[in-house]
Amino acid sequence: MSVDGVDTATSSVKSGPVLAALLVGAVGLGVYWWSRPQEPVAPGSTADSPASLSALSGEGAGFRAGPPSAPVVALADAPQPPPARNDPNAEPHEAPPSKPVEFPVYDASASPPVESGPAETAGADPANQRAATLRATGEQAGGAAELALLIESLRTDPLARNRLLAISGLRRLAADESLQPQVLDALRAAQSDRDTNVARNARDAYAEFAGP
Amino acid sequence: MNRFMKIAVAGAVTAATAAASAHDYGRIHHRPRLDFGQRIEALTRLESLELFGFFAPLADSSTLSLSATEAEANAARLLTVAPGLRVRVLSAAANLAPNIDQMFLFPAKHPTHIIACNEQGSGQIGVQRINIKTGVAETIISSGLSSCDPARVTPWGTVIVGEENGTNGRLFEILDPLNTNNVTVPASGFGASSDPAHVVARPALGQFSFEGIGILPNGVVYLTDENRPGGGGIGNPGGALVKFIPSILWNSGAAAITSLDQSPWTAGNLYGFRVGRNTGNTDVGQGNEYGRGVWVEIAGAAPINLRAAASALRLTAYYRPEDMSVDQDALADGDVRFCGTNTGQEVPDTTPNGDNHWGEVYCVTDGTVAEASAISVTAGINTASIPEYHTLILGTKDFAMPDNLDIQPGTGVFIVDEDGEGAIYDTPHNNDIWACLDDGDDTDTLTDGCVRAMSLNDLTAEPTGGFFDASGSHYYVSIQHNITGHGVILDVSGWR
Repeated sequence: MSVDGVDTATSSVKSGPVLAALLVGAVGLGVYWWSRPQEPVAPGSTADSPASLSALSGEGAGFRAGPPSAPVVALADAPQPPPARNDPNAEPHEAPPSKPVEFPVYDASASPPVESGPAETAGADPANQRAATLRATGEQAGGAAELALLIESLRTDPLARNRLLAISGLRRLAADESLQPQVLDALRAAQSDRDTNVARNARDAYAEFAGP
Repeated sequence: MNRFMKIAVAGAVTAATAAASAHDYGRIHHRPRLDFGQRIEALTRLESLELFGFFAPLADSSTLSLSATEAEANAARLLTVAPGLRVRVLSAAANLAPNIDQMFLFPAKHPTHIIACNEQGSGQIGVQRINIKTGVAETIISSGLSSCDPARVTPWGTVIVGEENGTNGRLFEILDPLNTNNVTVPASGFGASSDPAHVVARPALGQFSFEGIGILPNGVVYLTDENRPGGGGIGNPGGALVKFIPSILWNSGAAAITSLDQSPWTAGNLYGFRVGRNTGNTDVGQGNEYGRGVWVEIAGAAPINLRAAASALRLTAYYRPEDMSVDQDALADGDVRFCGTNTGQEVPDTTPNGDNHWGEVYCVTDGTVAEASAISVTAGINTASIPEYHTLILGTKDFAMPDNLDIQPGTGVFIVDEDGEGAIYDTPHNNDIWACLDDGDDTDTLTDGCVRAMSLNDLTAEPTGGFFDASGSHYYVSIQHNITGHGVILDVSGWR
């Protein structure tokens, strides 16, 4: 049979197995629904009652969201959700609160947030923490420990900026003549640094103390 | 720009677009290589002279890092500037403190000095003055200040400086700063300085990490807290914005004070900025960070812990608020508008810490000066004015972590110092100084365009404290913690 050029007989034959499969599936779901284990439901509760909600949340099946002795809040006493803000009809009819009672007041006796210090250093990236250490080290009167830190940083820090800071610190330590031999050794080696800025800074710092 | 130049610019943009698109004939959609946004950017660069006052912007950030020897030989080389601009070393004195941050000219009329904060520990120099002709640096506060960062001249002729030091941060007022020398202040608390007639703390303005200071002629002052979100615990807010209204407003025509007890900042009231007015000012919290808001009363005995108050009162928080500048054109019209920076966080996204939060420049309006200075409190809200916050410039990977800013007198162009992390990228690059247009008459609230005006040549440094003189012809900027180990302040001129 053909209607407007479409062979409906052929079409029916092709769709037959699909319809049969759907029918079998629907029957199977129905059998499962009627034979499934029943959840215990408190007398008088409704589908939205706390007992049903706790079942949905996993309570009663081993999961405990709160202490076992936590009182069950009756539905009528439960806090009501705020009106839907996405309801275009609700917004104009919302009565504004008489005063913003939800906002607590500042209490000077309350514990302040944990002091975090200047934001430049608090929570800084590790690379910047190393930079801060290098800057501080370079500003101090130099000793063996400071010298070792700066030399090691100049040799190994993956950041060119931090190696530049190490050179800057070494340059200041070199004011102490007793430290100059080790500083100059480090600066000489750094002149072949893969970074041209580091190499040039090392060369100039070396020349400052050893001559060109 | 004359008509001929406009035609030439339009032709150049068209030609550049056509030339670029000529290579794309093989592509399916035949799109030009420069998309519409890129063409607008190209036009902004081509019209640099008319829009920003220099011939052409810099194409890229500098990747050069001078050695100490090179910088000592000529500290002006620490800064590459756009063609047309000139650099002069105002001071590279050996005793100029290394971490000079915010600064200003003093006296306001016929200035002879720059007065500047030095952002170091309490054992180091806190405040210096620098002779603008000789570059000689002298110390006003020699120790006790931790991370001195903001600095301003007040309408009554004193100086205000602040500590960026968490909930220990304090504001200090200085009288006669040209004749006050080597004062020490307590490292914490509000005890007397070594010269209480010339340097006093101001507990009435509270405590947090002081950074942005915007002063109105009558003494009303806006303050920001340089705080990053999550400090002290996940979910803790970032930095807040507060307003202090003196108990007695300053008469802007009056003569400068002669004693610090005459200052309007001995007593007053604090209010915190909270976005959200809907449903009785309760649409407050994450998700509502811009638009109109309210000033929430911050009550308590001085000094108030403003960071704790901001958290308790649910004030709107931002990512590391920094410098601030009052819009003088708005002020001339009797209105209040101030603009500031939120630095954000720019660590490369090739590392686990990369947020790609590049910061922003924002502007806040607060009604007229009279409204902004009035007090009418109902249910804990000062309803005398309605503050409104909008982003002006949204940061990018190129233009990241804005820190200091100033609005050029006469042109209204914003000049913004970067405090970015370009030096830790795989290809290290320097911090830049950007020139940005204000928002024009188009429908959005955003800048009409930005270009790179200057770039440092020191990967260990950052530009800080940049500001203009009253004429808008000189821009002074500190090259903070530069490679020389001492401070450098440069004077950039040549703006057309």
